[in-house]
Amino acid sequence: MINKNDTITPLQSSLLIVQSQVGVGILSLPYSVHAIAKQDAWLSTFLAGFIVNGFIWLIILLAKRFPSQSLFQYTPQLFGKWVGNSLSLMYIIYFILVGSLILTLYLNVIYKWVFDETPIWATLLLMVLISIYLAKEPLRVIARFHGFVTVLILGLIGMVAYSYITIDIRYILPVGQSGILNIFKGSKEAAISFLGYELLLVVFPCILNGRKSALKAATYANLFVTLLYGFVVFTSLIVFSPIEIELVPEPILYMLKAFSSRVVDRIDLLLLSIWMVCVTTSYVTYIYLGGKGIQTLFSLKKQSTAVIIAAFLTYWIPLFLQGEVKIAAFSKYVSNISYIFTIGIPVLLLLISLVFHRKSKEQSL
Amino acid sequence: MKSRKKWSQHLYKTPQDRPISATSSLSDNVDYLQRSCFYTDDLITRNLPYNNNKAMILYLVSLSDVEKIQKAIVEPLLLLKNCSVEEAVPVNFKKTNNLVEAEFALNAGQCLLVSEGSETIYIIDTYIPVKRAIEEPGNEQVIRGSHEGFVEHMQTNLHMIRKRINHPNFTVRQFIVGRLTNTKISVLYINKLAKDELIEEIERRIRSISSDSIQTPGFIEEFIEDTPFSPFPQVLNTERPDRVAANLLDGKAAILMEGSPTVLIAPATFFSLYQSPDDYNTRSLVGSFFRLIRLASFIIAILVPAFYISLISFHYEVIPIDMIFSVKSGLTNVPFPPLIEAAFMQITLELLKEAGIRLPRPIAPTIGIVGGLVIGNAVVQANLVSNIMIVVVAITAISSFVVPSNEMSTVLRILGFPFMIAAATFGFIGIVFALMLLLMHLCKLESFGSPYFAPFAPINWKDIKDTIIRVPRWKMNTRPKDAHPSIEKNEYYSREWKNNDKQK
Repeated sequence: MINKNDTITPLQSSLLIVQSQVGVGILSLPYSVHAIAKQDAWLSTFLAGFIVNGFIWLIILLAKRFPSQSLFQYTPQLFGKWVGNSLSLMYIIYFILVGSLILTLYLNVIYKWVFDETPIWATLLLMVLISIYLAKEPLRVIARFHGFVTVLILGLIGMVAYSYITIDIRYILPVGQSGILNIFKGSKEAAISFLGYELLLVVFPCILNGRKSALKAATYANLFVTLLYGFVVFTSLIVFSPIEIELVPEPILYMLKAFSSRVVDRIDLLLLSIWMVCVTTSYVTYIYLGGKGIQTLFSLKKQSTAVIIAAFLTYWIPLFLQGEVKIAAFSKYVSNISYIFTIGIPVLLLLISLVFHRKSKEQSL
Repeated sequence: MKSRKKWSQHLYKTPQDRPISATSSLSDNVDYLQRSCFYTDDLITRNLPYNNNKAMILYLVSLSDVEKIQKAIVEPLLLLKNCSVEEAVPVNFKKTNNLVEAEFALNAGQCLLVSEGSETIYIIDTYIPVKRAIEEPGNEQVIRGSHEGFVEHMQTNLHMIRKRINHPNFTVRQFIVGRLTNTKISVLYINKLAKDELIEEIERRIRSISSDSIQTPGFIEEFIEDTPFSPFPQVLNTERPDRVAANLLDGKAAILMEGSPTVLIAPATFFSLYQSPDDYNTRSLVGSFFRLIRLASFIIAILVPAFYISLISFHYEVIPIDMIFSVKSGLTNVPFPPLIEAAFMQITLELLKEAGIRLPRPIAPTIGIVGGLVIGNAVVQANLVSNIMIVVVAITAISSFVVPSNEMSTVLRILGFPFMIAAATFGFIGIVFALMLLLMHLCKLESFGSPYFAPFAPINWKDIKDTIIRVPRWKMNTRPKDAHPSIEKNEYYSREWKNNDKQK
């Protein structure tokens, strides 16, 4: 059961979702979507946001049937002990994989832009240890932190807006040139950056008045993220010409690197600092989710032990995963399985619970 | 639990010990009382026959008012014949036949009257407090507003708070803690406004104090605070009655201790350490400006040295091109890495500050000369520290002193060190991670069930009105939520007259 002490308000849950969604992907989002949808990448981004909202709706529909239990608690009820627990285990593995993907991409950018000589294990350890410090806390503490650092996203928007001095709107014209199919394909690419909303599967019972407010909160959060991503992609598309953007994997950083002010040169480093906070928050969310799963599955008493195990598991993959090709393959793999976990299994669970009229009894457990 | 009980029972006597009843023999009782005080030399015993009965008074001359004893006990009893003690003695008294209670009363400055053939001992209030005059506290001065400060006498302190809050709901609860010191402490709150759970929690924590001695409020603070190893003070320390009253009116509780002018206020939040009574005596625009300056001081004190270190050791490219030459020219002759430079200057500064406190007043100006001239100038000329580093450290020091709370200002300077180390090892990334760690810690802290970093984590837009800015009083319609006060509204529509004006 959920500790009564550990509830978060709808606003907090919104910000929690925002911070989990906005993360490592935002830097390369314009590049990767542009690779498929070309000059209509911004349409793809908005479309992705729209589709993701549908996913969120389905997840909440499922969660509402078990309002006081997390995914890890109700799967054994739906399927029995063995199937249910192995489903939980799969989710734990998924959360850990996403966690290590975040770490991998983070390291990749950091080594490209800031350090190239610091040992990998040290940079990685710094990130993991600091995240454990937060993730071992109750959800309300995590929500407080995520909520506070959302202010930084405003700074990020401001910095991106700085580049509006050198835009050319003709770069995106004519709208719709890449065709519907490519726009849809592009949105599949963009959807990976929206990941993070699946935390609702686990934290739904902690949301105060979750039955009524969760959908609204999650929708607002997703709307905000969609607008933010749309803005970022749109700006990159009109700042860089179609040929330029194919050469720059992190367009936002490049466009800020070009500017210098009288007070600070290299605004991109400041942007990178904000981005690091966003990455940390997403990573914290995933090791929290993984840890929560481990705690429930193995009935551990302490959340901190479970979180440390989860974080430790995520630590190894980035250490051995070097080189652009391997990273791209890993990223592709995780993005493919993410569809299974964010929409496939929840829909299956929803159908089963609807067909067999399985619902949590309020007093059970 | 078991061992703890044993420990407290067998070490010292306490007033709660099993009562020992007095006998009807005068000499036996007096003998017991004298023996229980180990015939201490400031115990005065005097024969005082009244109503043709043998009797004695006992008091500690060091704590009791001899004149009062003379006027209120000795004279009436000798002069008024055929009159009971109740009728004769004009001051407060209590009757008991418990020798243990009498013994502790004696040690609290009361006078005992023991008579032959009676088991009743009169405990007569003759305690004389020694107190200094009320002055403005030296560490919390304000420009406008009340200049009163607490003193070492609890009743005087209570008086100063009570005269600011004249309401029957104002409640004082007294406790006695410390088995050797038997220190009186009081918990103050406004009933029905302060949340019951908060008061219960504070009382529960105070009751669990099981210690020999409580010498300063710092002891109480360390016994009752939530996270003892956090650098941040989780209880607000103040010597100003107006600050206490203001916090009580926000639904918080205050803890007073006999013998100390420092009052603890719980729960404290991060931003309550940044509020000063001065803010409310200036115009709201000015008050808001001061608040923002103080907030900036927090960021400057923690970040500026770290930022500078990371700039010159990792991120030269962030410095604008015009400035880079002047920075570089200052650095060329300095042989040390920037971290050593900064640490050296920071430690020198701490030494100067500490020496400034300890130095006797007549020779204090020496410190100014040594600090200002010798260290400031000579250090640069000797190429030990670069010019810009001196500027950085000076700005840091000044901004750390801006905080109205002395504990917080020390915390700021201490926190600067980990940030400098992080900057020297990981550059900007180190600073970002250190900042995140600090923020996580602040989000984690809770003081008596209230989030420490409220209203920012958790975010509460309404309560920002009295944190980083100060809106006019008539805009502060509701109390800040961090202490969960039971009554939210504190102001209705005090500027209604303006509407009335318009209607005319």
